[in-house]
Amino acid sequence: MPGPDTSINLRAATVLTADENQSGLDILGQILMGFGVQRVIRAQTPDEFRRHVETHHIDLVILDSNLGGGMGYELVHWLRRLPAEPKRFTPAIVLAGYTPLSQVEQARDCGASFMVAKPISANVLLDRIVWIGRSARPFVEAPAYVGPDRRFKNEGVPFGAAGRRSGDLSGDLGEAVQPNLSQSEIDDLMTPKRMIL
Amino acid sequence: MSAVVIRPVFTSLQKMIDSPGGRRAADVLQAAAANLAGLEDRLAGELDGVLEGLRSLIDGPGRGRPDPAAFAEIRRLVEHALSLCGPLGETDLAAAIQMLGVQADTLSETDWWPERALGPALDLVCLRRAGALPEGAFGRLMEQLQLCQKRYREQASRRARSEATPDAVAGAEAGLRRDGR
Repeated sequence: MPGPDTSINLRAATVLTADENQSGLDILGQILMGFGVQRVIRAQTPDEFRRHVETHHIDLVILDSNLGGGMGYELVHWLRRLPAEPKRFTPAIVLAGYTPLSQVEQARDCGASFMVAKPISANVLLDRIVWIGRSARPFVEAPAYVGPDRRFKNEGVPFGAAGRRSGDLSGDLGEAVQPNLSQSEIDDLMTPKRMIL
Repeated sequence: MSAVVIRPVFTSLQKMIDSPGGRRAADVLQAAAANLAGLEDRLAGELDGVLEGLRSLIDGPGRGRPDPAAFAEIRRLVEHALSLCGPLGETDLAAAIQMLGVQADTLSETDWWPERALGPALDLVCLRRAGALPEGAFGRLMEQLQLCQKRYREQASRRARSEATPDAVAGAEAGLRRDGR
């Protein structure tokens, strides 16, 4: 949770909110306007959502998983596969009424930046927006997944497996590139010495 | 081997959130609360309408097991009601509505239907909304609904066992366990 004195600037943000219920959109709109957002775009159907994404620059998407009879996850999946680069990186928060593990996994695997369980509160929403804005998660593009890096801890490549990422390091030790240090050289490195300055 | 590309991305949200000219978190939260307060009367009336809709779907005259379309409508109304509970500060009510939704989801996976299977959850929702529960009763009734839900889950997995291949049974049971349903 951001501290009470933390400064947050969302004045220039354009936020796309999507919910099939007018009241759901009103609630999100009032919370976001309280946060200082001056431009809130609303969508009540999947078609409206797609059209707004295609025609506007959006800084943040907040959509209900139930939009269009449960199409929320598909829409994030669609967003992540758009050819236009800045658009597919747009942070997306999915709202859901039930949060059993299967739904959380669905939200994570469709490329959502975060999932927020209903009933939503302004505190939780602000916390998630600030977290997304400051976390700088890398973006992953793979045949089966496109979206923010889902790993919150990087523990390296699983033992015995070959890494698939260009940045993964091999677990095999290479040949020494310099001769080994002698014991006295190691001791010199480890033992504090008195010096005259 | 499939190619995985990982790259750093600097979004426009990242650029603006800490930019100069921002407002204190405490102030923006206060402003959001004030904005939501203006919606309260309307949302409260709408919530009562949504709960009435749930009641007529679940407990109307001659109602038995809902058909698939009715289960879908229950799910939609539960989601709608949960959205409305946030600004009204109805956290207990939201928990009861969530339980109703979870029970409906579980029962939609089995033909087994004891009489008024969703009735107790609906009753708790309505009593909580009416403020008609004695002190401490809400927690005890939620515990009873948890036990009900356990039984519904067992029935759903029994049905999966009787109708499906061994692999499918194992998969369904793992799914139910994972979801805590």
